[in-house]
Amino acid sequence: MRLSPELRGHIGLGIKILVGVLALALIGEKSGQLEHLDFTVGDAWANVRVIFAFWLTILAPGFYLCALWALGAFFTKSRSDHEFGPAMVKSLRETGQDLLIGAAAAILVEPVFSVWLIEGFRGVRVSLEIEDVTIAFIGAAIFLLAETGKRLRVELEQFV
Amino acid sequence: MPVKVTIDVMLTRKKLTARDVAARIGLSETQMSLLRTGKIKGMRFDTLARLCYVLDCKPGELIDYDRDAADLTAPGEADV
Repeated sequence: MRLSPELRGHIGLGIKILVGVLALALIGEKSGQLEHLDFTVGDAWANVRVIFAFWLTILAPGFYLCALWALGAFFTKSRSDHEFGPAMVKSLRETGQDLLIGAAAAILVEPVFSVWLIEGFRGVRVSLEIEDVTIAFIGAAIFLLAETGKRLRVELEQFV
Repeated sequence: MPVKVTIDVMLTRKKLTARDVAARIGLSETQMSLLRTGKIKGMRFDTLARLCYVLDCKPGELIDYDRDAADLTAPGEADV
């Protein structure tokens, strides 16, 4: 299916607007949850750790939103760029990278630091949720696709 | 690769400049320069057709080939 440049531009803009709405919703939701945290009266350091551990939970969705924004940029740039031109490849690579980092945050960073900060445990914990693992692999696939596209583009440019 | 681009010979014969030909067939000067010096992997058929039209010649007058047995064993698209 070949989308017209105008439609691709509209899709890109729509995705970016959606990212803005989702980001506001995420911040609103997380801010609301702040009131229900388990604070300790008189222990500022413990409270800082609780707040820090809480904000760690915004890492993964934050990176997922960045990936969605990069995808929007991919569509917007595809309006004027060549097929798999440098700008499109960059956006596609960023999408894959952000999905990978977000998934890594959900699988490893968040569980490890949450436990370290709240319970003082120094071991490593991994949260192998199906959706995060799937997103990680999709991110890796998109990243590799962008790299392959870049290589093919360079190869194609050697034909006049 | 023993395939050589011989556009320069045709340009001289037709008394045309590479810049003019590049502009007429829709190539940039850089692409034309790469084409003339053989620093490309290939030429599209439509580029070849335009060159033939502008230079009023046949494809065989723009490219040449020196027979080389190593071509059969050289790594290429067929091996991928």
